[in-house]
Amino acid sequence: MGRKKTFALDYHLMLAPGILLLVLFSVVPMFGIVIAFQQYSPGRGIFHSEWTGLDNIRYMFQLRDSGLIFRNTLFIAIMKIVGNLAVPIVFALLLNELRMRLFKRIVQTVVYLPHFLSWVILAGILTDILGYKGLVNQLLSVFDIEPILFFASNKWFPAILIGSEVWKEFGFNTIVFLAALAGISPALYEAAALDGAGRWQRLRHVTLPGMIPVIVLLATLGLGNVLNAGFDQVFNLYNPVVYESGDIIDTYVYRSGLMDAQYGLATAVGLLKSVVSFVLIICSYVLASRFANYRIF
Amino acid sequence: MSTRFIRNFTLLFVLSAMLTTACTGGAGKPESTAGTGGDTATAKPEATTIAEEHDPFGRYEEPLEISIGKSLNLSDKSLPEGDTPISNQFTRYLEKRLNLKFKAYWQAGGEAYSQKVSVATASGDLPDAMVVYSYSELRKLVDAGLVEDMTDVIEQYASPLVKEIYAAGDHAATKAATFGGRVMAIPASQGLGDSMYMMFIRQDWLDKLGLQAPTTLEELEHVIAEFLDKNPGNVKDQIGLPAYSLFGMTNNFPTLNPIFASYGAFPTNWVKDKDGNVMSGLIAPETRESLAKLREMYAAGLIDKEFALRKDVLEPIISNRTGVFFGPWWMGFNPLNQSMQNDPEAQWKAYLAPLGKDGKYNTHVQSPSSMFYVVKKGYKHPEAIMKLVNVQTENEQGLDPDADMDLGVDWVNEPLRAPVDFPDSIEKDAEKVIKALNNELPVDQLTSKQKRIYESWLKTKDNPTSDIAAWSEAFSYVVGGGQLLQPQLNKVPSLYYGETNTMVTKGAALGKLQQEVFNKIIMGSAPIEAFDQFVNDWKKQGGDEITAEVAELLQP
Amino acid sequence: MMKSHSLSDKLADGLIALVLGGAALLSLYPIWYTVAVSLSSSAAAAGGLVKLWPVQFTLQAYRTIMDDPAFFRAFGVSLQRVGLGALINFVLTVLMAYPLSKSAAQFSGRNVYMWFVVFTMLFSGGLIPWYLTIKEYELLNTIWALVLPGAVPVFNVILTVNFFRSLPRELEEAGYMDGAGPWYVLWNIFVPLSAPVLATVTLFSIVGHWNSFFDGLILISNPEKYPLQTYVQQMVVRFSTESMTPDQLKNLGELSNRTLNAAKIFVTMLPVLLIYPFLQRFFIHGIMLGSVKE
Repeated sequence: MGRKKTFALDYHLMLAPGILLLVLFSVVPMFGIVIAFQQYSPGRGIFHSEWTGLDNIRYMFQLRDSGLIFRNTLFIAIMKIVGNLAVPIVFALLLNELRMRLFKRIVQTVVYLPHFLSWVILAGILTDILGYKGLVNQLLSVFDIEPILFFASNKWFPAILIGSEVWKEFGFNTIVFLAALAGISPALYEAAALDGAGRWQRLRHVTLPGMIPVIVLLATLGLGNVLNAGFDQVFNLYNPVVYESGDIIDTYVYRSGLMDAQYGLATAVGLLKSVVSFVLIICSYVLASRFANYRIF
Repeated sequence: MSTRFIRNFTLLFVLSAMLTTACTGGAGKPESTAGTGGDTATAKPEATTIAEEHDPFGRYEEPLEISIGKSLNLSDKSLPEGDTPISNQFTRYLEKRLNLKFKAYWQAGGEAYSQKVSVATASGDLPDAMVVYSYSELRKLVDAGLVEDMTDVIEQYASPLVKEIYAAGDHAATKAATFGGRVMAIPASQGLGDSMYMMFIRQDWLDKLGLQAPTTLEELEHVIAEFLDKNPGNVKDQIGLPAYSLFGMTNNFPTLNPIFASYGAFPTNWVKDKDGNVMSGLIAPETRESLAKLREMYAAGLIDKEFALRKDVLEPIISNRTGVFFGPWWMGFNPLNQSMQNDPEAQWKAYLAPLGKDGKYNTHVQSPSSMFYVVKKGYKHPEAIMKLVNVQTENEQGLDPDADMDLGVDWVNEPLRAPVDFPDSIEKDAEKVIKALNNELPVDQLTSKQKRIYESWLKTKDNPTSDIAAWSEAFSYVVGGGQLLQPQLNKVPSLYYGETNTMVTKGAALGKLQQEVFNKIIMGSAPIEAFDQFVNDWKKQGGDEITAEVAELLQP
Repeated sequence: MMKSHSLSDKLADGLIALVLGGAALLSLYPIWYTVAVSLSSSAAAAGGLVKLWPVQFTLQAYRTIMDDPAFFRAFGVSLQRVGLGALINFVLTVLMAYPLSKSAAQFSGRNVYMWFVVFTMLFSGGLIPWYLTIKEYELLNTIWALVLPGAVPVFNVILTVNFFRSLPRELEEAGYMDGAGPWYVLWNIFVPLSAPVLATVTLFSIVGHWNSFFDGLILISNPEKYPLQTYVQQMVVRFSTESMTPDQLKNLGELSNRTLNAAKIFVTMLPVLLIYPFLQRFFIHGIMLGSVKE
């Protein structure tokens, strides 16, 4: 008991530098959140701008197609969260099963490459592949299918967004799971082998349970992105014809900002996203601890 | 934090001391702006300089250091060894003439520059002076109350040459910078030629098919159909008319403006309806007609199937996959220089086509100024920026024989760069060069720039790839610029170029509505009747308010 | 591990290799394409003629890079940033993760700290207040502006906390029995045992610092101090010609030099590509020495 107390001081000391930096660089700038409730004018500054309460948030919901924009954002973001979890998990498990060391290393390195290309570059490549005379349409023509204007189709566009996001990031996202796999004690595998467990059983009874904590953690943190559908990607890929299925909150706010310096609106939208993320994360944390007696972080 | 505060404080102290002497010295001077920086602006600290109080070229006795936001050209390689974008022949010249020195508050090029401007605007953290390259940026600065009122400074300090240039453009430049009756920036003034799109076409393809260059829209349709059908250039994946956007006010080429204009539609303009009331060109019946036609052309494959979807719309032109497109006069600089490199046999020609029903080639023109010199509110020497513009403009026109400028150094290296030039500057150069080429004008009467273009054209017209850079400029002026001199060209200015309050608040929503509907109509996923619904929606969602605002502003 | 491979096992192996190989090919394409563009003539690249192989092969772009002092200067800034930034990230991650991996019973302040950290990850004051804050600290235009604001990588901390918690308690207890304090236990027992997760978060830090360009754009006022990605990105972004001045337009051809940009992107990627295979060796089973029974 006495020992615990002396350690608490050490713990506080260990946390001190990080907490200090967070206060200086994250908390101090949060004074800017008040802009969300203002008609902010840079000339007057934060302390003298006009207060407008919840007008900025209300404005966002009163737009003619705010319903559509929110629906697009939610749909694209949630599908991306799911894809960004599921594909890397499966991929990590497959890599784990692979016995050829060198091949494994090469694959691992290669799939991590697209993460390093910006959406400006990838957008050019994608429009080329999926273009009217692009590779995919040439393939389709072999089966006598009429060429499809993928980027003009509200049916295809969200699928392209989700698919290309997963394609770009799955290799990079796999790394976390590989680290988790490496953390599973070999003793457990040996024990399973002694029990005569086959490949499938080892996967079910050793590997997956070993990965659950990381999966739950990343799923929970992923909830923080339910309103982030990926500005860079959408901005570089969309066009007016697919506004209907592809216009998201961030692109809309961006376009308003071009005309009107709506600092209040942009901040309010940011705040809204943060609040939603925070609430969702708290909920899942509470649910996990109440029903599974499990602490996510 | 603290050191800067102390520095500012000392500065303030010194300035207030100087101010008292200035006030006693400059007593009888008319004070126009009440309060803040306005008074000190025109006041001179030295009592001895009262005589040259408003001298547009008056040299400061003490060096005056100005902090600037410096715009860089990222690809510029023209500076000699040892010079930098903020220390070169231009800054030395300004130091010699005016005793100005420059310090970069920040410097950035391309996209980064506009980032810097928007951060500066939003945070209120501005350099003493900078150039903004769009009307929207200026308006945001003015709305935020961050820039100095330049009305009196321009009146008192603009040189006769600068005033002459503004007058030549009917003072539209200063009007563009006017907010609530006050001129809030020193406007630049550009040649208007940039906004006039013309038809560029493959002459060799026409010749091969025995076709004449089209003049009407029907003929143009026929030519495109023949190009696509017979494929005279034997190119893979040929496309119809390319378009980056359907129409544009300034340099967002290639567009389809000329097709709209041939129907008398000017969607970028504010126009008069049949009763003489002001109306947006977007909702005019002529625009509906044009859209119906474009829809028909798209269905027939005469317009690029992917026109709204391309990420790099110059690609098909550069790879010579199209034989016709619309663009401004300077296409030789880009993309045609690259197109020539991929196919040295290509022969591009420019024409004013398609003509309207009146037999004229109608075209919208842009506002003469979309670039502005702004001065931070409260800066003590706003007149210094005006003097800088005076000196730079004189120098750009080559009027100071003692300037000793190396013309090889790019003008972007001027500390603050936004040209103040006559509205017909491009036409003037083109006209002189063409006359000289036709032996109607002795070559020694050309300016050095015109002489360079003249010589480049003689050297490269038969073999463009021998010196593609020389060809780029010469082709642009002789072939593209030459079209700007044609008598059938009819410029249709907009009744209004600014942005009203409602445009600012509802612009994004209205823009989305318009782009979505127009593109869908042309691509066939919405019927032409959608246009009528669009007109209703547009009016209801803010269009009527905007129209009323514009009408009121246009009231004499 | 196991010696006898049944037929179905071999079939499964083949299938897995096929799927993984296919995914690798799909991922390779964009980089392959970028390299092909970088080796083509600029006009061919601008015309979109390059698909799979270089068109009109030339090394001009790489020669241009070699002759560009600004590129190497930016490279140096980036190296400095990554070295400094990743080191700070690593130390703070380890220091914060250890106390946070304790249960609330072991360390009563733990939950408050944890939620504070999560809070800072989710909420921000926005770009302008952030800029003004850093300006007030007089860090603008210094390397510290690129390193200190992100000094605590919250995601990495949480990941490490999660991993620390999965380490067997017995290890720690054994350390305390021998009279060691928490600092000793952290550095000499936890850190060595956490190689996979620490390699991962370090990789994230390095990649994050190497790739970020936006903070450089906003916080650095002199292009000579730009880190590499900022230097590269300012040229690669898609230009809208509408907002360009005639001066800029006439240089558009050069600015949008795809070949050169592709070469820059590729050269810029190389260092991070080389780092990954090196860090991979920490992802191997058996790091835990199998010393402890669960």
